[in-house]
Amino acid sequence: MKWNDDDLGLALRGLREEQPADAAITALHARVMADVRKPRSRWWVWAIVPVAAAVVVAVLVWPRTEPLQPPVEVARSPIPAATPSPDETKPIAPARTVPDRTNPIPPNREELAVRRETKPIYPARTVPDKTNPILRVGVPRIEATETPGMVRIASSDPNIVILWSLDDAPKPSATPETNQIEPNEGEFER
Amino acid sequence: MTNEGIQLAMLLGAEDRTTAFEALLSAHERMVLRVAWRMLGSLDDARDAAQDVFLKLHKHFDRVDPARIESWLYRTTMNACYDILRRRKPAVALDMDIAVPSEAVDGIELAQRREMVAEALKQLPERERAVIVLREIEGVETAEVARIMGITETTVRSQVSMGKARLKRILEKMR
Repeated sequence: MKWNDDDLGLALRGLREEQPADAAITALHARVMADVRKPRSRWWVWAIVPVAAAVVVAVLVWPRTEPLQPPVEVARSPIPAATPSPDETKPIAPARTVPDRTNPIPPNREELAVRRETKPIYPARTVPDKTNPILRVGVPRIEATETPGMVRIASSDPNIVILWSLDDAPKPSATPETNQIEPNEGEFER
Repeated sequence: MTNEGIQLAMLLGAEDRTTAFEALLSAHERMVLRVAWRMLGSLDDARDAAQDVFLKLHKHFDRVDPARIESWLYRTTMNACYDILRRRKPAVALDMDIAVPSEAVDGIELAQRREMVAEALKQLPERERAVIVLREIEGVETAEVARIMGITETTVRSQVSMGKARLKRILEKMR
């Protein structure tokens, strides 16, 4: 069976006249429009949600290495100053104030006036009894003891009692030159 | 809707975008489905390809030049058909048992000749088939086919010639 160019061309052009069935075109139209009118799926939202949740969990679980900050002090509003009375016309000289860090609230004028009028009560000044020899500072009192050759020296401090031996025998003493104890005569000589 | 109406609809705002798109769909759905059908040989596959084409049109609606909408549709249809052909390889085997009552071509009815040519088209290489479909079946100008296919006019003529010769050999082998 031979096909020439005319026959082939005629058959090819005839294919253009063959149209798809109307049902196929209608189905295509419906499918496309349904897809177009369908709301867009925001898949990226569902991709972001688990990532964001993981970040939040990591931040919460991560150990804190920074020192905790001191608590923030809440500043209290100062007490409003009372209106001055008429007799307080004189200006009050500003007292030398030492900043009180424990109480940041400055006293008001009434409190300052009360403080100024109230004189402090000091305790009575006690005069030491100069007749008491013990209280006489720097003057020890020498008393005899029951032991012969011993005297007791009482100082101003009752807890300190010095017993002094009055033995005539020479006692070892350190010489300032050698800073060594020198033996008595004939004590270590053999 | 006329071409001017379609172009005006395409220039409208986003609120009428769906309306304008539906007008374009109604104007070109038959052509796109027909070309895909010739390229793929299956109406179901052609419908899938045409749907892809129009969804792309909807996606790039604002960027498509209304004056060149047909060229854009042809090119996008060819690309969609290539994708489907690559997915379903190996190629569909030609059904060689097409009934031909007479030995003489003159004696064969036109409808049967069309059926034979349509079957022979499936045996052509993709590029030659695309050129034959566009130039010989759809009647697109050679220069336009060259633009759609991204090749020179000389190449278009060459591929048309080679495709027709191959078609004749395929048809002569048919019983």
